[in-house]
Amino acid sequence: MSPEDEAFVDRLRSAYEPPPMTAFDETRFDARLRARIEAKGRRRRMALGGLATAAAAAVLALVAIDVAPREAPAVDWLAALEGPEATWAGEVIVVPADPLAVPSLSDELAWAAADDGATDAADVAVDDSAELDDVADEGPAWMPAEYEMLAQLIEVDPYTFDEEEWP
Amino acid sequence: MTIDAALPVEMSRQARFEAFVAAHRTRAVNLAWRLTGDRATAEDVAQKAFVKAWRGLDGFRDEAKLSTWFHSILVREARGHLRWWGVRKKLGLLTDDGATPVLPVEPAQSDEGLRRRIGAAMETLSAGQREAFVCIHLQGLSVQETAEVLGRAPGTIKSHLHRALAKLRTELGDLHEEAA
Repeated sequence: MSPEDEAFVDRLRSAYEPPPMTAFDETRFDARLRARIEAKGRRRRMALGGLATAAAAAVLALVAIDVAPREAPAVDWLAALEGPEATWAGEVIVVPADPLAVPSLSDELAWAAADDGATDAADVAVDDSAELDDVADEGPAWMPAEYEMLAQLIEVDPYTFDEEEWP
Repeated sequence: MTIDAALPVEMSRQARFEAFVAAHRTRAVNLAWRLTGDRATAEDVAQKAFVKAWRGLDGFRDEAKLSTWFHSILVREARGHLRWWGVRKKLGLLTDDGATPVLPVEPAQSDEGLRRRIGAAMETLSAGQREAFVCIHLQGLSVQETAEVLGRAPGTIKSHLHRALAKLRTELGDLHEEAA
């Protein structure tokens, strides 16, 4: 800048400035600024509170939908009474399908059950993929009731007895 | 020219902000006034910038960067106000002389006439020219600081500055001759 321009700019700088702030102006300015910041904080807190309330309401609504009592399937008691007699059908016995496998106690029980009339294929579930080791020991559960009565008469525990000790 | 007060980092947020306001209040109002030409508007713009500075205070440990950031907010607020004012003027919501009816009239002073003349000449500048001229020649910021505050390249700032000075020389020729 030339010296003339510098003097011109100095003249503008000194002439083009606002009236100085008095102490009163500064106090008023600070008070208004504080009020603005507090109002902004209040609005922000209210907005955050509103968001939190909305989120909580949404969560509660989801939970309420999830835990609402569902209508239990109606039980047709009349059909149940008139239907076929309840048998052990429905209990699942896992039977290995390998014909060369050594029959286990479960197999024998399943066959015995079949001999007793439970011949329906649905009564005996066959799991082709099952191994012998997977077969649950269902023996005691299927011991006929009369055997238990007999065991009680001769005072032998039917589930643990040793055949050599059989009287 | 540095305009930053030394603000110890260990001060509480409130105390740090109060020290920041005390250090920048007058300069902020002056800058806003030189950009908008009105005292009430200048205080409003400065306060809006301070409110934003309050929110961003924790993000700055370097006071120089905080000051630059604050000035950029201030200039943006002033620019926004002038744009809003221009729209209102175009829509005929302001009086013909351009004064907002709601703003108080400044008290008459001995150099009030000269101030108004300079203000009228300032209004002939584009926004970029006015901002560059005010920041550098009237507020004392460097070209680099002004470039950061205005978000423009230093070359652009220099160009604005050159054109602003030429235009003001034309508008206020008598003042230029008087100063020479």
